[in-house]
Amino acid sequence: MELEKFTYDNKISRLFLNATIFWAIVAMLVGLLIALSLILPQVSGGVPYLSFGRLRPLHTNAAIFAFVGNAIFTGIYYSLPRLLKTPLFSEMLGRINFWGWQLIIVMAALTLPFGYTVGKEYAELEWPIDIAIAIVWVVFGINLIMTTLKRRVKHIYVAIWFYIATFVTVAVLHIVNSISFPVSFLKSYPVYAGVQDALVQWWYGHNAVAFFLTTPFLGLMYYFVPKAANRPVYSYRLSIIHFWSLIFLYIWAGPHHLLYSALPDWVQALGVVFSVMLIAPSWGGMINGLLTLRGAWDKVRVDPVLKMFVVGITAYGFATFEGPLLSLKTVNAISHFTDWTIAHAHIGALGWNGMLTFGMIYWLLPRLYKTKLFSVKLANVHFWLATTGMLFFAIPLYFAGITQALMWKEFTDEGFLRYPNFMETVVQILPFYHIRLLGGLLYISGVVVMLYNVLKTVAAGTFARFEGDSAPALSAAYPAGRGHRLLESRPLQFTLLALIAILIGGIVQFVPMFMVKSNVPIIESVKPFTPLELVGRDIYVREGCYNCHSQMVRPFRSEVERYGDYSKAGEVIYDHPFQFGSRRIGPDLARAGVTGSLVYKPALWHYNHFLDPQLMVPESIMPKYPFMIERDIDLGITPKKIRTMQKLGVPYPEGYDLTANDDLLRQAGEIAALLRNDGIDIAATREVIAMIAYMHRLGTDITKNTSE
Amino acid sequence: MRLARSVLENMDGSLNILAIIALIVALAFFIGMIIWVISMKASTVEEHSRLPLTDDSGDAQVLAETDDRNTPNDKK
Repeated sequence: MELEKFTYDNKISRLFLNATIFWAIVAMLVGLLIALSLILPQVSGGVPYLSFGRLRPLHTNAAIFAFVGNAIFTGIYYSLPRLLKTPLFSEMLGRINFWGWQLIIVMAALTLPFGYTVGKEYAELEWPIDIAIAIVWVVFGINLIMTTLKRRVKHIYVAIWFYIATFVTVAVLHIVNSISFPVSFLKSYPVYAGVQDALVQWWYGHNAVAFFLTTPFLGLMYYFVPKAANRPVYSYRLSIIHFWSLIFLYIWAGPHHLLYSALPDWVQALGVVFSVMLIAPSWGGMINGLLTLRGAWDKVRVDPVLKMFVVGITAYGFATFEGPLLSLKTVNAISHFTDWTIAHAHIGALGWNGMLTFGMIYWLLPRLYKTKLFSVKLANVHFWLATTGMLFFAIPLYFAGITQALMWKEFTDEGFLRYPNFMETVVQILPFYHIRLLGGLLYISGVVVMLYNVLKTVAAGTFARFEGDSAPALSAAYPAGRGHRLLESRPLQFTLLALIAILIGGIVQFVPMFMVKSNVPIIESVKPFTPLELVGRDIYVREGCYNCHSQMVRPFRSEVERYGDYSKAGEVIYDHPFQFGSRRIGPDLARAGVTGSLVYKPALWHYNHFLDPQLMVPESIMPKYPFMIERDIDLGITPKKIRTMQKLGVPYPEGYDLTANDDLLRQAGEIAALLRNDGIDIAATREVIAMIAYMHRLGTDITKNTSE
Repeated sequence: MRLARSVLENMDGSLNILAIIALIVALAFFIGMIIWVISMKASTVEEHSRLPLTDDSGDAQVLAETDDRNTPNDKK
């Protein structure tokens, strides 16, 4: 058979590899800063751009989309052409993918600290950036599919199935979850509201974990682990079962983020069942990865690449055991809204994604630069820093999570909450936050050690941009295979089937949720926000308050005692976006407006608390918001906001956009007058007035008489 | 849309049938897949699983320099 000669271009992989290391350091530094601000809230210094609520989305977005995202592209652009025995379809599209992705990251890094956010976790970026993401992602997808089409091997290796599933699913998730109506260039409201928005968001959020942090890395595992161990994957049959089961089951599991919430029970039940089933394919993948090292365990002892792979895959096994565990309602009742979730997420991010990325970098570097790694010893030091860093990060947070949950739920013999003051439960876990910070420091120092090792290796070698290879042409007369072989030899049909597999779960959950009215029972007394409350809500979203405060009272006695009546789906039908939150670093605010409840505070208290939280609650770890007292509300945009809300189905009267500001000023004047009575002289148009209005509206609808 | 909505809203108890159908379809799919995978020819599976190990012709020399475990693979 005649061999055709061709070359692989390593340039795109190298670009992505450099970006991976750069963004890893940025993401982790921001992580360190926000971990520090939970111990020393003064570090934000009242500067809006440095508050926890604005920087936490920057940290998560940078870690997921910048660090892990660039790592995914590094691995895919390296392995794809080699597995298919063909150069990349288009180097130009590859470069557009690279520079487009970096531009998106820079835009994210610029907009998030400035408070431009949609207010949905891991999907915070505003609509122009969302459109850019969709375009760049399609560019990547075209390159992926077209390279697969012009391959020289008949069989498409399992790693590429995972890449294709990643492309297809992330595209669907991103587009469906990001649909919103723009109010202005950098402000929009999601089309979904309340529990429906929550369902879509956590379908997205959970599957961002599944199809951005998991499937592409499983693809990388199926390529780089066999390469590093120099032996084929343990069971190729298992990998087929692993692939189809994983992508089919994962998409159903999103509702486990909303257990005990106002989401209908049947959706919660589906989320639990599929989450529990997920352990089978997840562990199938983990076993397949680890057993690939059978007969090579002696090498694991000395080779930092294999060590990192082993810890990474073990962390994957741990996280995917913990995931189903956390999805059980009894466990979730304790874990949800606590640091347990944060610990779980970081076992995945630092262990699975981090370790696999580092292993891949150490493996790639000598090959890209045709030299030896500068120091295997330093790579081993990095391995230990990363492993201990991960443990010092996660273990204290497990203790913190369980401690705080138990304190929230504890009653005295007389039947009162033992810790009615939320602050007590925060003070109790602060020591764990110190150790977590140490864990983060260890982990990032490992990355700095790696950076040094990388720079020295690069300096010693010369970049081998092109690598030659040869293979026979894929003959058109190649006899057609049967069964799965037939399927996976046709990438377009394969992509379509993968798309169907991932659509089923979403459709089964979404269609009844959006079409059957009984899923969101109407509550007569629930009315749209007043213009001032709406402005307050927008500030609440802008400041990322949902990163620390939930708005979802679960139907537990401990929560009803502490916060008031449990939340109902009908109460949040005008919430574009929903603000249930996922962590209670501070107390729940769903009933913050209900006078007489433990969480209700008068206007003067809120004023002073925004100005300086530590003034009102000395142990508080909330950042200061003095700028809310100095800044004026933008009245010019109110009519646009009202019109956009009307388009979304919020029943403001016809023509209300023109008179909304009158109502806004009237309500603001009342609050300002209240404050003046207490000796605070403040203009009615200040942002803090809108925040107070919003706080005092929260949860009050169901306490009103409908005849009013 | 209206038809779909009314069908869904009037299903009530019969929703259970949907769940059972879904279970049977899903089970059939997975059992079928397992039979399919088990019946694959061993030589084919072996050939497919070796795909990542056939691409280092260009950097075999570097592998040998970097560490001793990476020897060039058998070429078919």
